[in-house]
Amino acid sequence: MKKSVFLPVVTIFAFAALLLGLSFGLQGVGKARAQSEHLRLLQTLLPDSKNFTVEEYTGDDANICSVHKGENGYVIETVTNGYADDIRMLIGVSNKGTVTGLVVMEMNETFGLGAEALTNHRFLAQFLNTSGDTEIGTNVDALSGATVTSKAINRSILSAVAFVTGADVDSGATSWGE
Amino acid sequence: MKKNTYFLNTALAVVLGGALLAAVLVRTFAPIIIILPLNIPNMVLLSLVALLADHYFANGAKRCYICIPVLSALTFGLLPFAACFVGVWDALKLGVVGGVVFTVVTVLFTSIQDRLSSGPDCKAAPVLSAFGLYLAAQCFTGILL
Repeated sequence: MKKSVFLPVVTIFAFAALLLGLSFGLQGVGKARAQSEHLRLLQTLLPDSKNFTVEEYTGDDANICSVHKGENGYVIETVTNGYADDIRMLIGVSNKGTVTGLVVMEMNETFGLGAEALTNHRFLAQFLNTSGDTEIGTNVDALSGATVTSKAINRSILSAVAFVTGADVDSGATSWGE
Repeated sequence: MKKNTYFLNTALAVVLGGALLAAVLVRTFAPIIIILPLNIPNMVLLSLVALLADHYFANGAKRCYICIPVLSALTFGLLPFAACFVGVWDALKLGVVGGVVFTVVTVLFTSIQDRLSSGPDCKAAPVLSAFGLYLAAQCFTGILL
């Protein structure tokens, strides 16, 4: 084989070694920062709460992954079926059952349509200070061209509020076309 | 006969390696930031950056259409695995998909590049062609999804 083909091979393995070394070397730093950022995020979603404890979720709602108990409410992690993939969210709900904050943590929805939910503050702000009474198309405007994504996010909100208030909510996948 | 320098695959390794290096640093120091996934549109974007680098720095180099898919599959599979973004099985899938995507984009870009006319306009034409290809890849991915 010609000598010149070794150049890309050597480059690939050199970068692989560099990335592997950095990943392992920075693991400790990364974990500490992730924990610190996570706490800061929880404090932002549930204002006036400084400390959080993780509670085991034993309910039947398939949308709820984990629960963080704060001093004046809960931050609930939800995963719901979106249009293309799962949508993971963190939702802050006060002890009175009011949404105090929400953030989309992870999604793979359609670029330019459902993916707007990541950054469209106007859409997400509609859920603030609600108490489990939101419905897409009734009192909440959906994202343009992303009704399924919008309903999945609404389903997350309803599950989170229902956890705190104890209301019954249908669990499971987003209903298409409703 | 034109010399085969394999610069293209080296450029791809540098571009993807640099992008993953940045992603590792972001993951460590700003974990709250959502890192872009290595999906098809982003693979096309990285491929086009490598192709543009190859065009401007090694223009006229002969392509080896056996080495291109093999080396690009190795690049797209090994580097994300080394950066601990994916496991073994996902790395294999990424490698296969990345190899195919890179080869297709290379064929398309090379055929466009071969038809670019000489003159003052030809300097910017590769960049605009690459941009057009990127938009086409996004539309195609949207249809696939």
